[in-house]
Amino acid sequence: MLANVRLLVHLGLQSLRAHKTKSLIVGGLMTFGAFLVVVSLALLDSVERATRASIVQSISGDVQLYDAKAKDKLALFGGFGFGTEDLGEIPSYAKIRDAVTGLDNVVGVVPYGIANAGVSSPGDLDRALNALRDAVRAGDMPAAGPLAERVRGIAAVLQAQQEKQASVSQTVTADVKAVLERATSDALWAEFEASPLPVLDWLDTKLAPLGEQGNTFYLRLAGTDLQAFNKTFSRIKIVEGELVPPDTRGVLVGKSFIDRRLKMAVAMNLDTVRTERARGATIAGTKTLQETIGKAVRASPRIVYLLAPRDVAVVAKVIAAEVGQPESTALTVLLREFIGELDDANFDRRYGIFYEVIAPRIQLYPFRVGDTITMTAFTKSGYLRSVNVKVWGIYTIDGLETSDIAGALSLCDLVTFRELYGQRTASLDAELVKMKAASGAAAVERDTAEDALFGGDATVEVKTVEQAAAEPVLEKVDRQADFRFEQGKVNEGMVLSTAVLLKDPSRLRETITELRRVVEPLGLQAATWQEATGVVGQITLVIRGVLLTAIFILFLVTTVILNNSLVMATLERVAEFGTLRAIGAQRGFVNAMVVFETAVLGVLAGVVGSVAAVACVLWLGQVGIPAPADLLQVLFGGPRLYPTVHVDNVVAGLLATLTVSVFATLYPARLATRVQPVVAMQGKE
Amino acid sequence: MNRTRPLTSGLLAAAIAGVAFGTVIGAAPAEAAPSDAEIVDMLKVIDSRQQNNGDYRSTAYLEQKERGKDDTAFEITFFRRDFDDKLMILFLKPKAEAGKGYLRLDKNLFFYDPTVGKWERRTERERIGGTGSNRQDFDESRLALEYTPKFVAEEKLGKFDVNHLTLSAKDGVDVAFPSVDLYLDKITGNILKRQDKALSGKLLRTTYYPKWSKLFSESKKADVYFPAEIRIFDEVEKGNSTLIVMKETDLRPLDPNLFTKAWLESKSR
Repeated sequence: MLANVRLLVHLGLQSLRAHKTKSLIVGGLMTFGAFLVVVSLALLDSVERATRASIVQSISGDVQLYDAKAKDKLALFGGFGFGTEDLGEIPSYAKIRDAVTGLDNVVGVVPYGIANAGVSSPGDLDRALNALRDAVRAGDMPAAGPLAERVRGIAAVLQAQQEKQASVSQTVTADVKAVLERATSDALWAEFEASPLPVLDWLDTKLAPLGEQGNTFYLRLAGTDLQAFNKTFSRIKIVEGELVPPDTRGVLVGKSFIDRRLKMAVAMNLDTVRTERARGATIAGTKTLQETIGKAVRASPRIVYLLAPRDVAVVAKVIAAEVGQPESTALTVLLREFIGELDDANFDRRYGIFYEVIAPRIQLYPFRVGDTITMTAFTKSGYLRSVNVKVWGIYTIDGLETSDIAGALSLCDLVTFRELYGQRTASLDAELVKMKAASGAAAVERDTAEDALFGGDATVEVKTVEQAAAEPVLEKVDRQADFRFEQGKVNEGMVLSTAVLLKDPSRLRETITELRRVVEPLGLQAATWQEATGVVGQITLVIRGVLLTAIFILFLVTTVILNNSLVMATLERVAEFGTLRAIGAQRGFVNAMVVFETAVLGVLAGVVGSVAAVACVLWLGQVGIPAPADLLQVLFGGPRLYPTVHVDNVVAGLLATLTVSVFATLYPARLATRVQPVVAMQGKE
Repeated sequence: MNRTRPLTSGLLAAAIAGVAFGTVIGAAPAEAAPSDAEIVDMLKVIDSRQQNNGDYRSTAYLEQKERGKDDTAFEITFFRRDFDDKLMILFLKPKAEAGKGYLRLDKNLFFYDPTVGKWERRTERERIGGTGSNRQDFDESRLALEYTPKFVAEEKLGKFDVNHLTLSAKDGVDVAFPSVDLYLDKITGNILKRQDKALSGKLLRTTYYPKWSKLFSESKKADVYFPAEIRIFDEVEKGNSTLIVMKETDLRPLDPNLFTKAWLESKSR
């Protein structure tokens, strides 16, 4: 037996040396395969770890628990559709927290409620008028003075624009002209001093419609216990302001979200140009950058609205000096030149001037840290609900500062979330039933409406009615007064989902089984972070699927090519196998010899390929793979992926190469065993 | 300050409306298509009947049905001063909605939410309280001023004979719907059905006015007509519908300072 093995090894190695070309081709293929497998597995693992770090450790946790009866799938970052999902409810978060906290692999538990809220941002004139009205209502006349000046300043800018427009078209009516003349007149503002409210009403109804329209931006809100959230998710960093204090209502907004979505258009477009130039683009050579500058020029008159009247002269002086114009030139004209004539030579200097001189004097975002914003949402009850919430801070996720997706969620307290979510209560239902009964109206279906209303016994005569009694009295109105709450009590109440962070994420499968055992009797389901993060999670699953499919196809192709090469090689060695058979070698021996030869090649190729792959991944780990797209930043855990390779990747690569080698040899080996000595010898002759 | 029109102008308007109505409804033979002037008169009759020279207040039940969602309902009271185009809608019920309101001043529509104490400017297409109704459903009828009508045909609506008209918005007039199909009861002249369309002709909503009421106005010295029930069906979001039922109406003079932001704010203090 031992002699047979020795002979097998001897003959096999001799054959490899004898067929150097064949050995090199087949070995080369195997080396390439091993290289690709190890690199692919290392990259896949690295992407999964990075994505997990981006999403799991910053927002989602490893597992999300939510109502088993939910009509929609949980999608923390939003799904493929629009509108708010129906996720059912978890009636008591504390109950779930207590049930889950004791489990072995659980390191953190955080409550969640997701809601979409709109924040309407008035136009600049409406904003100034609202502030003026607030000051007047509060009797704060010192504050009202500068605000009145601002309103008058905006009216003056509108008047200049209308005069310019009137010179080229007939669209400016006499009414508009009269309103602007009055709004900029001393007489009106003297009247304002004496009796502010009627003047404000006039400005609201006559002047304000001539200003720029406001707009609404939308926040995807994650309501949570912000203190517990901060302790659990270590990658959240407050870059401006502070974390919402305990037991206080408030919201934290993502830095990348406000920078990319809400920032004033001039600043946002200048930022874009700066980023692209840092990446190597030039204004002269990039048409899109020239278009971006064009957008900034078109938005530039707004700067004049936003500046306090006393700041206009200060800014005009600096800009005039920069563009070489007299200081008396209108600021709108100076700004058009200042931005419109940006080039690669002056960009950095002018960008600096913008942020040093203009930006500190205007409001770059619809709100500042410390401002109270009004968020409005359609509640689950179907009603519109508005809530005033203070913006306490701006956050980023460590390593993902520039990612839109990473900053897409705004974080707020659970009380604010619950008000915007608007649970339907029994008392509301009872009130609606009573109102409906009092109306006396019958239900009519759309399809049969005309028959029901105008057919049969219907009449359309006009009925004479009596004058109503006294005007109905309004009952007590709810006004939002309290901005404090008790977190402990709040945690007893309803949430939509619960995030669970694990100590050892590699034990996800085992832990999720354990979690299901605990939460299913409580009417909940458990979803992995990929399942619970909507589009983002789905994309990571798709990418994993694509990579694994690519590896499988690679295996298949390598097997076929190897198989072909080995069949060809076997056919060339018919005489050799025939001779071996003629001198007494059994079929099993021939079969083992062929398989042994390929296995030796496979091991050698696997080692060489794996070493090359490890070197390649180590190099990539040093230089990093850039993430040009936003989604890739989330998948890569930052602007670059620094992959690492682990022993299991190498072992998997070696095993895969060996398996493919042996598998690809089975058919050629069988061919070799079928060679008849007589036929082989005849062929040779 | 009483801001109603002089009595004589009210009587005159009623007389014109009466004559026009008699001409349009009574004189035209059933087979002959009415002339353009007669069609405009039909709209003037509708507008004139619903106008009150003085003030107007009505309390209404508002119900919204949406497919896959629970019904919502409101009780509102709305105030009009047609003389200078003012409108206010104040939400009374349910409790959580009480105190919210809309105020129309000239061409501005403002919304006030007492919960947050803020006013916001809203557009002409604002869905009142998120329902399928808009400002125009509660405001003074201005069909003749806002639209140019065209006669289509005499048709049947259920068992009733109706005149079918198409209306196109006049240039420069801000209306919620640029194109409208109206179906007017041949006997009473009242609107029974209205179809609001986009500029492209796409049907957006169908409204039925199955019940009409009238109340004598001291200031107008004539009856003021108003739909007692309005049913709006959303033709884009099929399955969504809105019901408005007028519960009571009052034509007596209102507080002179009622149509101000301060008044609406004061109601919820």
